[in-house]
Amino acid sequence: MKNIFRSALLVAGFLFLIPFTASAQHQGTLNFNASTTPGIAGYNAYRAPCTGTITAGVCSIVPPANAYSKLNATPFQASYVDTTVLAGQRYTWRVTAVCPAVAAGCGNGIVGESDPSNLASATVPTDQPNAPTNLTIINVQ
Amino acid sequence: MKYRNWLPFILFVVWVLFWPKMYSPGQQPSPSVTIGWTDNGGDCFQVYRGTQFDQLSVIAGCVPEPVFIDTSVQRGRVYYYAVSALSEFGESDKSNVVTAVIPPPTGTGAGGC
Repeated sequence: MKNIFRSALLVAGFLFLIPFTASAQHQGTLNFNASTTPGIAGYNAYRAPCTGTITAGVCSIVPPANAYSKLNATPFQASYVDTTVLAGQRYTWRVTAVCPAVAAGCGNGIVGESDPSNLASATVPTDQPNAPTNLTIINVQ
Repeated sequence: MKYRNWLPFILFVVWVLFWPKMYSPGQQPSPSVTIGWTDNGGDCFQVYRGTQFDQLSVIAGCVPEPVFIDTSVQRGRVYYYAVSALSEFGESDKSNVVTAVIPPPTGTGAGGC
């Protein structure tokens, strides 16, 4: 039954990330296609940091499955805004769909949490702006 | 000719504009240094200046454009300049350092500093 649920609850056909907002507090917004399974209670968001080196925007180590931490306390209904990111860090996110924690679940015996969606990664901008260059003396009098 | 009517006025304007230079040939304009740089991001710029290469201090806190005119220099001195970018996320590294040599006083004008 669990396997049927996992295959049936194809959540988040495509997870994508809205670019980080240019505010003093960095944040990333997770958007995704809704699950096609009726009756779900909401979604959970998970995040894993890059534990390797970041070269050209790519982390040298793909986060293992156990590196993901759940971000939300209770299932959310639509997009999720992650406000706990740190400047300069690269993260990978994924979401799951959740059936209600009651006997009926989503119906048809589907209970619990779905397989994770596809992964979405992004690097949070660094705090400091780039240094000015080509400083020159234009005129002395 | 209409120009003849304006000639006294034109001569007066020329006289007013050039009188100080005509009768103070040794006087130099106030010293200043104009610097410019490439804007690579940030909200504004911080200008550093010092009389030693490795001892620069801030003389302008948030310059909006990538150009700055320093009119607080003295003749006969050497100044070092650098700039940094500021944003709500902090301050960038400093730019390269440039050197400005202010010409010493010349002529019979006021003495040096």
